[in-house]
Amino acid sequence: MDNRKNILEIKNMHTYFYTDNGVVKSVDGVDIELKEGSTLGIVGESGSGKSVTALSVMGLLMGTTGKVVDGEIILDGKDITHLSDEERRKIRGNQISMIFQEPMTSLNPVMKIGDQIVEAIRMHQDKSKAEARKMAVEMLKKTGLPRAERMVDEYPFQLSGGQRQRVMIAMALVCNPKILIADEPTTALDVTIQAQIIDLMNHLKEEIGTSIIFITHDLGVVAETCDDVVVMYCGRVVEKGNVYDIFDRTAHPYTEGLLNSIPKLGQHVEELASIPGNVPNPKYMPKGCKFAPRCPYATERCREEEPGFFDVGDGHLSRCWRCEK
Amino acid sequence: MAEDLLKVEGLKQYYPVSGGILEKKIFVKAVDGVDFEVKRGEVFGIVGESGCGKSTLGKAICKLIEPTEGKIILDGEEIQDYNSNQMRKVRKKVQMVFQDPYASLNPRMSVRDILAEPLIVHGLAKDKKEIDETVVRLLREVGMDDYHARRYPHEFSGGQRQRIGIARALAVRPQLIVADEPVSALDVSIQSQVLNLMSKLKKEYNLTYIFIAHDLSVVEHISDRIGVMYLGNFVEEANKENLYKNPMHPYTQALLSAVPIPDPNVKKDRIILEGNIPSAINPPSGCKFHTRCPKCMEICKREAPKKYQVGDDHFVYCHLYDKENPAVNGSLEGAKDDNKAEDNAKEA
Repeated sequence: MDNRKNILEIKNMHTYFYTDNGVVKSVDGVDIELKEGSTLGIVGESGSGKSVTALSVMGLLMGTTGKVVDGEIILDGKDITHLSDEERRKIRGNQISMIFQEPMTSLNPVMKIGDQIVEAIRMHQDKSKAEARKMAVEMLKKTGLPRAERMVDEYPFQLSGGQRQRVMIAMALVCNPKILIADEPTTALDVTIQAQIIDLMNHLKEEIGTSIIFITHDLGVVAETCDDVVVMYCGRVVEKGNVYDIFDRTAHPYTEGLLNSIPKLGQHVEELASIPGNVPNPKYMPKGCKFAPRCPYATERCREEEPGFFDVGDGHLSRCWRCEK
Repeated sequence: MAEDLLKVEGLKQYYPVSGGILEKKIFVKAVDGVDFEVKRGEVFGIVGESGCGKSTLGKAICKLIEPTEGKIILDGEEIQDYNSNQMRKVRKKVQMVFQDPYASLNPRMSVRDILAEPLIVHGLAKDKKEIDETVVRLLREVGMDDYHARRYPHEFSGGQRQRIGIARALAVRPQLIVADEPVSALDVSIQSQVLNLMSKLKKEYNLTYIFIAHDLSVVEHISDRIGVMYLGNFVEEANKENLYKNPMHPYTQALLSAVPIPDPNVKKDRIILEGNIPSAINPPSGCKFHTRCPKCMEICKREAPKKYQVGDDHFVYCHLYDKENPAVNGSLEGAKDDNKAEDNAKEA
């Protein structure tokens, strides 16, 4: 058992969106722990609530109809759930940073790259413009960007997708945050560029000592980067454990379905296994277990009663009646 | 050996990016001289990273854009110079499935109308009753229900929309379907459903596919033969066993090694390529990959490599496999042993 302390704990968090057509329970009771210095993967398909979980932790739900209605978010021993926007802003970018899937839309297109990083630094640290600019160049160099001195005076459109993601990473890590949340950071990139970015993130994690939450639907990326994994489905965690638990001792039928449905290099099968049906509409959630309508093992009980977590060994949890002892 | 359904010779597709009366014309060389054949009944996969020209190639084959140069021979017919009238007959033979199931279906048309349109355009149904019957049959064929015909695209999920896109392509009973990234916008669990559907339909209708994708695992799963593209050219072409077990081109090797493996017990040595794909407006001289190639030699900077046969149904465009070249002499078997090829490269 790993006894590093938890740098982030999410306890029974519920995030609901209040739309004209009713309440959408995007995150409905999620518990996640991130250990200091480790990488946690959050896996799930579209609509599973993985991105909303990240936005809730970041406090970036303002401007939407979404709200954290219940639960606690504990950062390094301190509950940050009910902090004001002002206090949240001090944490954001300083203690928790986030990078997004599409680096073009998350960088300001009419602001020079250097100025954007300088802004992030001066928001949180008492530095002169010249000092901050020096820090920005240093950080850009650390992310392996060539000609960093000149790049600070360029605009995002002058860079390629991989370079923009490096700029995002530089901006996110420049204040040495305790936690970096990366929401599908490599999904929009080509595989050879993805390999570069993953390599960079692993390298910077060692160097800066940041703990990482890696949100992705790509199980290959998870297997290569994460220490612990959380699998989400319909706003709930359905399975969590360390990376070997999830891949070698898969306990939940949904995780099993996901793993079986991806084609693997060098493995020839006539037909891929697949999970029948679609993710249910959040407005019409099934009663019992949310996965029951698509689950090959579903019984009457699964359709009626939602399971809680069962420990299948050493902190490896699965939300499935089949795991009940 | 099955006959060639499609043969492409020296196909070039340039897009002008500027140029007035006085300005010099500048072109993006999206596809820059491509030759390949697709046999009847096979799945030919085209892989490459964004900007390599794979989608442009797909569109050019369907003549959705006018090719700049080269020949496209479909079912024995040279179609590259056909006008839109002449193409109409050909379109019954070749259909396309697109990447984005949200953008490729008209949001104002019901599913019935979407599927009926090709039937009407090509005169494949004589009356309304026959159209309705065919629409229902097509929907069932792709695993959907009769009542879906009355609905509109926005009422469906991504996977269901892609099924409708496939049904529309099937409506004219084509011989060849060009599928451009058909599953890359879908979630993994849905992706496998659509891949299985495509395999099933291929058998039932005796279809031939050109499957364009960036995901190497998906392409391996569905394809019989595969071409790897880089900056407008093929760099390697082989049946899938050869390509995946014994990749020969340094780019293919790097590309395969970059694919994350969903197994935490596998730790592999990765070839991490430096830099980005160069611009297709002003591509590098010689071999276009030489700026990023870990095994680059002097000759690579000057001369574009020819197509070398390195095995049964295995072709590679790389100077490392040129037997005549003294710098890489004897590297044909050495090529299998990367280090030796690299040493040879260093000597040069």
